[in-house]
Amino acid sequence: MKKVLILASYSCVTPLHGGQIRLSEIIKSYQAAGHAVQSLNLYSMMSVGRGSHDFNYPLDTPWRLWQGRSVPLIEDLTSGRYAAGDEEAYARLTRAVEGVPDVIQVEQPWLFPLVARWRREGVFPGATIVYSSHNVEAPLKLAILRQYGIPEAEQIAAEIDALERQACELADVVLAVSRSDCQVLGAWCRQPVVLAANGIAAWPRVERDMAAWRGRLPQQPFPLFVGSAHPPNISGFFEVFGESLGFLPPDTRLCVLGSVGAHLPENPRMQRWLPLNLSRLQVLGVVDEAGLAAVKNLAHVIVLPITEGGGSNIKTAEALYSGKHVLGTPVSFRGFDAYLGMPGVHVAEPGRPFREKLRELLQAPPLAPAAPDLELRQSLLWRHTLAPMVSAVDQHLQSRSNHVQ
Amino acid sequence: MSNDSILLWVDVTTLMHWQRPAVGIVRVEQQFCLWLLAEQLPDVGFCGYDKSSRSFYAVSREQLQAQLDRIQAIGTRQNEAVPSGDWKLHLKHRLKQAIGYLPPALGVRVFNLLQRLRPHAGRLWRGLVVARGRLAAARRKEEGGVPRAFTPVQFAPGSVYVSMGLDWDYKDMADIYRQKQERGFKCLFFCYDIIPVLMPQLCVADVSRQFAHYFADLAWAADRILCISDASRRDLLQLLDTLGVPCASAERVHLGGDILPEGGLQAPSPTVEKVLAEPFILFVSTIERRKNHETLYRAYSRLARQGVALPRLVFVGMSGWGVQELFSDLRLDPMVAGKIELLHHVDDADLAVLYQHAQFTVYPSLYEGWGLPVAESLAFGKYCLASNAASLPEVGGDWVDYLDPWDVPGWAERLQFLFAHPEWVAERNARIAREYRAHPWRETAREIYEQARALASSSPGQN
Repeated sequence: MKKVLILASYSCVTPLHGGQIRLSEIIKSYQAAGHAVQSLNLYSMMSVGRGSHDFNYPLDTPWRLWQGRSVPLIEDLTSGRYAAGDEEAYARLTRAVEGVPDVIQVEQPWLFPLVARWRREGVFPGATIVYSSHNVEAPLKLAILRQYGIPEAEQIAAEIDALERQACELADVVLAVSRSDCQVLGAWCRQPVVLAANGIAAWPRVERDMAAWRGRLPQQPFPLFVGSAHPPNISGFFEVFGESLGFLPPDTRLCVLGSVGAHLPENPRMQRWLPLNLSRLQVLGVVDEAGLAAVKNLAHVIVLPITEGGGSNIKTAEALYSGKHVLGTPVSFRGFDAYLGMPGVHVAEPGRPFREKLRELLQAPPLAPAAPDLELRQSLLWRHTLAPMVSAVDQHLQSRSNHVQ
Repeated sequence: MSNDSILLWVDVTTLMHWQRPAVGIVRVEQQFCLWLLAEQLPDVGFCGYDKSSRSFYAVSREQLQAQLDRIQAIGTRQNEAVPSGDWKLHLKHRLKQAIGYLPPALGVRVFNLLQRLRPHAGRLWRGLVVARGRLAAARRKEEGGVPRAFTPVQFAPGSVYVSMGLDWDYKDMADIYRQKQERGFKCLFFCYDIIPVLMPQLCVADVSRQFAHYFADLAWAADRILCISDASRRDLLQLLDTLGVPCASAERVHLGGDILPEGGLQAPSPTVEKVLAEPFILFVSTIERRKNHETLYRAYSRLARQGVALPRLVFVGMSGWGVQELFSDLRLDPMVAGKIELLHHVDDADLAVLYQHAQFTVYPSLYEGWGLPVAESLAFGKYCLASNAASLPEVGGDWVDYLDPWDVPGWAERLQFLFAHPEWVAERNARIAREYRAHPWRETAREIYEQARALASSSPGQN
């Protein structure tokens, strides 16, 4: 049994968003392989789910400033500087590590400054360093910051780019979630990048839950969009659907599950045709696992209005696993090329092509998946997608151990 | 006659609610129904739509004829601003009057507040109506019959439902779409204009977004939409494209322009007789901001200041929204005192007399879906000086001269020329009287009927 230390910028006590779910599944995979895992998480405690190894990133610390200025949407970046630069934080975090880890895995590049300092100062010298990338972060952050008109966007993106390159150089094992990310990160690495795609947890089909939800959902076949309040989910929605939902018939509602829903009706791009849009939209909000499963089971089409982001999307994997019609943009299927030929999986460019395809799919009969497709869908489960990660880390530990001997 | 033998169901909800002389949209519905009744077509039925219960009900030919007669009789002769029996209309009228006395900024705020409260009042009212309906239904069950005035109807598959009234007020288009999907009937609707979406600043409160919603649902429900001009068709298609709404078919229909009563010109009412005593020019239109009475007032005031001898300018039309300041100017401006006259609720007979005796007509509207008064003016052999906006050049062709509606000096200059050259006006009038042929309402009605018949015989996707 080896000790695996995981550093992350969020809690996984109650996994809600993509990053938290991935972290939680990574922990389960290592544990299933017989390793002991400690997850050490640094984030603002305003967030939910405080775990025993969760540390607060204080709101009033000057480390939050970027070059002396207050810049929104970069808490993740500044938290790494705080972890490595603030002496008290550094000492607390270092003390919190239980024993001597054999593996230090960093989820996303943000906390790499802490690992870099450990390495400089000879702390945990023999540990295998794993960089677990979720995206190529610099271009993604650049797009978000530009969207919000942040003047320092380019400089911040350059800093993130440097951090990602440093993570690749420092790590013994580099993980990526898509083939395209593998290519990008591979150019910065000494060794091949391991593909450990995002996966999903199978969800049940509970008739009682579905019956309870049927009354709250539209009577007509409905499209479902599941997403968090992550800004690209909001911008993607409007890039794909535009400012009017009039393309949907009067008796059809686009159902929105997750915290993204609360941000749609109030968005400026929704306002021009608000009464029309509200008549075609049903915001379901954040629901529990059982509710999420029931609504997914009752949807006719699952839509993936994703237009940016380099990673592979968990929502895409869930949609592909659902056995429903799936309609996504080319970006939303990045990392899932193997599934594009499955019946019921449709790709359309954002805007008119997407809207017209959705209208067509709403008229189509429900999907009846064939056996080979069901098999292919099984490969979307976490236990399959994260297997290369466990095996690559084990292999590195083994080779190191052989080398020492 | 069973419902199954009815091929065309003509909705007369607007007419059945109407309590004033027929103008604009109501005139189209009125003229269509008059023609249908005269033709005695056996496969045509009449119906209304009840928004609170989301159901259609049958209207007998006798009920419709009685209502048409009632509308025909309302006007100057009865001198009634608001029918005393309609308390809702009365209340609305009184509220509008009261708001009109407030300072403009406050008036707008009060109006907007009332608009916001309106849905709640509507819910309360609908609740009462539903409760009353249930009570009445229970009573009917006891008595063993359904009142004839409210006989529900269901349209047979393949039949055509034709609606051309004030549907944004009286219809729930999403419900009609649902009923159509369930029962397989077809829908023929009208688009007069999309002005509330294009020019919300000229309409009451912020109705733009509500109208966009209405047009989207209308297009979803419609198998065919009849537009009253190329301009309105173009505007509608552009809006639907922007909204991403598919449009099955949009055709142009030609509105009529003849309003001469069947028995020829009648003796005018005393009110109109007084107007005829002096030379006058005529502007027939609801008095609201979009119609741009303002430009005429300013041109008149300017000419009066220059000492130009002015014929009386007669505004014929109901008072609408956003003109309280204009009314105040007309009341207080000494330059136009006695030069501009307002006539409300003028019936067709009096209107015909006014057209007949006017020197010429004016129509400076900022935007129109069609411009019926321009056609009517020509039908009466009267030259019209009109705005060049939207559909108006389609109506007036080469018979009419056009000006930019905002160009007050241009209007003043042209009016001065026309006043100074009555022989020029007379020659134009004579030529129009001699050569212009008004499109008869009966042709419009036949055109609508044929469109509906064609729709009935088309198979799905062939609209």
